Amino acid sequence: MIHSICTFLSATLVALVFSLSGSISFGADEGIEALKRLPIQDAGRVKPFDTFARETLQLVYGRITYKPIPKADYGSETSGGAKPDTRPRPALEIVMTWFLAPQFWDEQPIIELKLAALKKALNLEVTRDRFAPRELFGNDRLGLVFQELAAYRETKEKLNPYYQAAARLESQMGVYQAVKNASILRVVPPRPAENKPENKTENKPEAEVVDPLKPVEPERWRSVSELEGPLKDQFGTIAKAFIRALPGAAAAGDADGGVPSLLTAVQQFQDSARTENPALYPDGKDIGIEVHYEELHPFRLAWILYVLSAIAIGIAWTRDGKSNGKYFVRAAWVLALVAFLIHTYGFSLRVYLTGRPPVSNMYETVIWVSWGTMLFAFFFEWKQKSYFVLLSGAIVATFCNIVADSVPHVLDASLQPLEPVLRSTLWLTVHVLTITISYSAFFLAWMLGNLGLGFVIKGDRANSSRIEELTVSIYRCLQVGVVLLAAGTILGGVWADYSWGRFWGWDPKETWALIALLGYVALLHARLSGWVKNIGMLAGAVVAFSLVIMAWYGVNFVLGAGLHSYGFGAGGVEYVSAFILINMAFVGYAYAMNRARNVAA
Amino acid sequence: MKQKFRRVIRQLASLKLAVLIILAIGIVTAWGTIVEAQYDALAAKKIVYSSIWMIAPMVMLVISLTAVMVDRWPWKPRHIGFIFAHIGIIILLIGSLITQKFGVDGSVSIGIGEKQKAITVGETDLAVYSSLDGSSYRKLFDEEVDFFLRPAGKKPLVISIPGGEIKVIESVPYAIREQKFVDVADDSNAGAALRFQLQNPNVNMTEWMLQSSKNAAETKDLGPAQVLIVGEFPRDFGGRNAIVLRPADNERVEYNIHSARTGSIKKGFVSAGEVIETGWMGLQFRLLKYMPKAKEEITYRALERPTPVTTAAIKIEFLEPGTGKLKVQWMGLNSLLKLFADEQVYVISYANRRLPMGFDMTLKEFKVGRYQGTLRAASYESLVDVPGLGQQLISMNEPLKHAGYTFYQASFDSDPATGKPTASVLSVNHDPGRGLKYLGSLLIVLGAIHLFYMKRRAWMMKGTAV
Repeated sequence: MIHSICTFLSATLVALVFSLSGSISFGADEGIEALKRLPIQDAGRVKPFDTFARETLQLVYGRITYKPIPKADYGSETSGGAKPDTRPRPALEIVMTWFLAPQFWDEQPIIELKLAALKKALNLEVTRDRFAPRELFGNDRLGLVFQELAAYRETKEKLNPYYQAAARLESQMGVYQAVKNASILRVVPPRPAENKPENKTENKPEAEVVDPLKPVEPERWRSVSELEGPLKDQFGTIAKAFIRALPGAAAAGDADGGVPSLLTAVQQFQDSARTENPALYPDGKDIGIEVHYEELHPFRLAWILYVLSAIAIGIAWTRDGKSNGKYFVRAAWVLALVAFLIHTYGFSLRVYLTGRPPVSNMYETVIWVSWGTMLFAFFFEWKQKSYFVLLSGAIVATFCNIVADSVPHVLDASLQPLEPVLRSTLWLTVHVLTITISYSAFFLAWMLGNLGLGFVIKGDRANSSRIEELTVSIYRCLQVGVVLLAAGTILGGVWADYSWGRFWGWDPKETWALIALLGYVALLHARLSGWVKNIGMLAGAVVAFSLVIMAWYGVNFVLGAGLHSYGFGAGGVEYVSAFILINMAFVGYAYAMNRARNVAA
Repeated sequence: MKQKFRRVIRQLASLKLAVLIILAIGIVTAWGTIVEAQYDALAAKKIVYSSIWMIAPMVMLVISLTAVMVDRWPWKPRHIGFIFAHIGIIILLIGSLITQKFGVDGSVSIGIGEKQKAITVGETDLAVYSSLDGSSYRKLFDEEVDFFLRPAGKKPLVISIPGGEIKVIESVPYAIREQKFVDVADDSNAGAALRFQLQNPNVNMTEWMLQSSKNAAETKDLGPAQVLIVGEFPRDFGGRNAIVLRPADNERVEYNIHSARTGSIKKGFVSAGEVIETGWMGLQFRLLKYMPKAKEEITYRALERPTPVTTAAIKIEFLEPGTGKLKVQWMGLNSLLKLFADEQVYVISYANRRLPMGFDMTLKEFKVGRYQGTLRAASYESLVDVPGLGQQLISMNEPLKHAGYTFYQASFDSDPATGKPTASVLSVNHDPGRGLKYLGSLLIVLGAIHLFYMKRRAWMMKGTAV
C-alpha cells in the first residue's frame, strides 16, 4: 500500500515537472536555451535575457506568456506563412520579435490598460483591456493625459489610481518603444576606459557628453542600438538565427544559407561581449541558476503538492478509525514534506540569487510566511499527532502560494535590488525574519480557529474533544507567535536605533506589528482571566489575525496608498476587505449557532 | 487599612482591567497610524502619540502592572517570567519618558564644503527684531510657538511694538509656497525678471531669474553652463559655457554667449518669444518672458493635507507705527519677513529651533553609490570633518558618535535641475533613555521566554476550569 502510494507520488511529481516546464519553454532547443541565458543589464542588475523578457511582457502585456487572439495571422509576419496559432507564446519570443518585426506588433493588442476611467479619458473602448501600440501612440488625447500626469507629479502628492494607471501606461509605452528600437537591450558591458567616475564628466571633451546636466549612470552597459562594428553584426546574426529557430520557420523549411545555428551565434556574441570588459561580464553560472529558478517555478510546484497533501488528510479524516486511514495520513506527510523541500529549495535559490534573505517585499514575505506556517505545522503535528495542524498548515501554504502566483502586479515576483537603508544590516534581517515568522504562527492559529468554528457550527457538544484539541494547538501557536512578535518588534527598535537613532519612531509598519502584538496579548490575558473560553479562543485567533493582515498588508496597501483620497481600489484592497468581512461573518454565525444551541439545551 | 490597600491593589491588578487597557492602547495607537496616513508623522505625534489619549492608558498600564506585581507578593520562582516581563515593560516606558523629556532628536543639513554648528529640532520659535540702520538689531520678542496645536486663527498672537502692533492672525500647517513676479514699472530701482527655456534632445528646463535690484548681477549655475544677468558685460567668462544677459530696454535683452571650447563670444539682442542657438551641446535658448522692472511676490496657498513640498505658514498683520497703516503678509516656516516702517525695519523670524552642538562639522565630500546602469541610489556617505576628531565617514547604518550625539546618514538634497547632490542630511540624536530601553527590552524577552516554558499548563488549566 505504502509502496503504491509512493509510486503514485513520484509519478505525479515527474509528470508535474514535465508538464510545467513544457508549457513555458519551447522544447529542448539549445540555441533558445543559450539565448535565454544571454546576460542583459536592466533595472540595476544583470539578468538573463529570459527574465528580462518575462518582466517586460509582464509590465506591458500583464502576463508572462502571450496568447495570440485567434484572428491574428501572427505566423505570416515573422516566420513566413505558418498556420494561425493560438497557443500561448513565451515571453522571450515575443520580446525578440518586438524589435525584429515591430510593424507586426504595432498592430497587436499587447498593451494592457484596465482602468475604465483612463480608457474613457482616452476615448478607448471600455470593454477592451488590451490595445495595440498604434492605437495608443496615435491617440490624440494621450499627450494631454501625460501632461496632466507630469503636472500632478510636480505637486509630489501620492498618485491616485487614475494617475497610477496613467503612469503605468506611460512606462508600458516607453518600454515598448525602447524594446522596439533596442535601446533598452543593454547587452554589452562598457569598456574599462569608458567607465569614468561621475565627477570627471565636466572635463570630458564635449562630443562625449551625452547629457551634461544629469549625473552619470555608473557601469552603464551598451544597448543593441548603440553597438557598432563586429558586435553589431554578431547581434544581427543572433536575430537571423533566432528567426530561423522559430517553430514556424523550421516547418516552412526556410533555407537561408550561411546563417550559423542560434547556439553558435549567441556564443560568438557572448565571447565578444565578454572581451569588452571581462570583469563586468558574468560567468554563466548565476545566470543559469536564475533561468532554472524561473523555469522550475518552485512555489507553484509546492502548492500543487500542498493541495494534494490537504486532500490526502481530508480522505484520512473521512476514514477516521478505518484501517487504511493512517496510510493517507502518511501520504499527506510525504506530500507535504516533498512540497516543503521544493518550497525550501525555491526559497534558497532566491536567497542565493539576491544575496540576501528574501523578505523585502510582499511577494517574498508571503512565500516566507507560508514556509514558516508549514514549519510550525510539522512541529506541532509531530508533537500533538492531531492531523488538523498539518491540514491547516497545508491549506495556508496552498493559499499563500496561489496568491503569490496569481497576482503578480500586486505581489511583484521579480528579483529587485534593495533600497539603501535596507541594505546589509544584520539587525534588519533578523528583525524582519522574526516578525514575519510570527505571522506564520498566527496564520496557522487562524486556520485552526476557522476549523474549530466549523466544529462549533456542527455542534459544540458532539465535537468537544476536537474543539479542545484545536484550542490547545491554537494556544501553542499563539504562544510561539507572541514571543516571536514581541522579540521581533523589539529587534525592530534595536535596528531603528542602530540605523536611525530612534528606538521607536511610530513608523506605521512597526506600530501595527505592535498593535497586533497587543491584540494577541489581550487575548491571552482574557483567557487567563477566564473571560474567554475555548470557543472564544477559536474566534479570537480568527479575529486577531485581521490585525496581522493590517500590519502585513494593510499598512502598505491601505495606509500607504493614502486613506484620505482614494483608500480602496489599488492592490486588491477590496478583495482583502471582503475576505475579512466574510471571515468575521463566519465567526458571528458560529457564535450565534453556539448560543442558540446553548439556549435550547 | 492594610486590607483596604489590598482590595484596591486587587482591583487595579484585575486581568479584565489589563485587557481593557491593552485594547485601549491598541485602539489609540491604531488611530495614530490613521492620522499619520491622512496627514503626516508630526500630526500623528501632536494629535495622538503625545496627547492625553496616549498618556492616560500608558499611565494606567504602569499602575496595573505595578499592582499585579504587588498583588502576587510574595513572589515564587514560577513568577520569574511574569515579573521580568512586567518590570521590563515599566522600565521600557520610563526609558521612553526620559528620551521624550531630555533627549534631542533633530537633524543637520550641511551643504557640500560647508560648515554647520547647530542642530535643527522640531520646536518652532517666533522672534521679532527691530533696527534703525539695518545693521544693528534689537530683539523685541522671542518665544516658542506651536501653531499646530494652537492655531492663530482661533487665538491670534499679538506682539506689541513701540507705536504699533504685529499680529499673527492665521496659521496653516500645510501650505505651498508660490512665487510670482509682478511688474513694478513705478519703482525705478527694481531689477529685471526673465523666464527662459534651455532645450536640446536630452534637456528641457524652464527657469525664472530675477535681479535683486537694477544692474545687480545674478548667476544661475546649470552644471557645465551658467546663465547670468548683469549690469555690465564681463571681460572674462572664466573658461565656462555662459549665457550672459543684460536688460537693454523695455523690449529687448542684450546677450553674450560664450563657448568654453572655442572661446568665441556670440552677441546680439533677443526679445520674448525668440530663440537663440547657443552653439554648444545643441542647446537652444528661448526667452519666454521679459519684465524690465519686476518684483518677486511670495504667497502661500493652504492645502488640506501635506505633500513633500508643503510647509507651515502664518499670516502676519502689521500695524505700522506712526502711519497706522495695516499690512497683511504671509510667511513660511524657516523664513524671514522684513517689514518696513518709516523709521525702523522690523524682521520677523519664524523657524525651527536650532540647538548649538558646541562644535562645528564640515562636509568635505558626499557620495551617492548607484545601482549599475541606473540613477537609483544604492548607498550614501558623508565625509565630515570635526575639530579634534579629524575626518570621519558617516554612511547608512554606520553613524558617528561624538560629544553625546549620534549622527546618522538620513538623506540628501539634490539640485532639482541637475539631480546632483548638494547637501547631506544627517539625523542627530541624543538619547539618555537608551540604556533603560534596552534593559527593559531584554527583560521583556527573557520574561516572555520564561512564561512560554512555565505557564502553559497552568494557563490552560485555569482557562478551561473557569
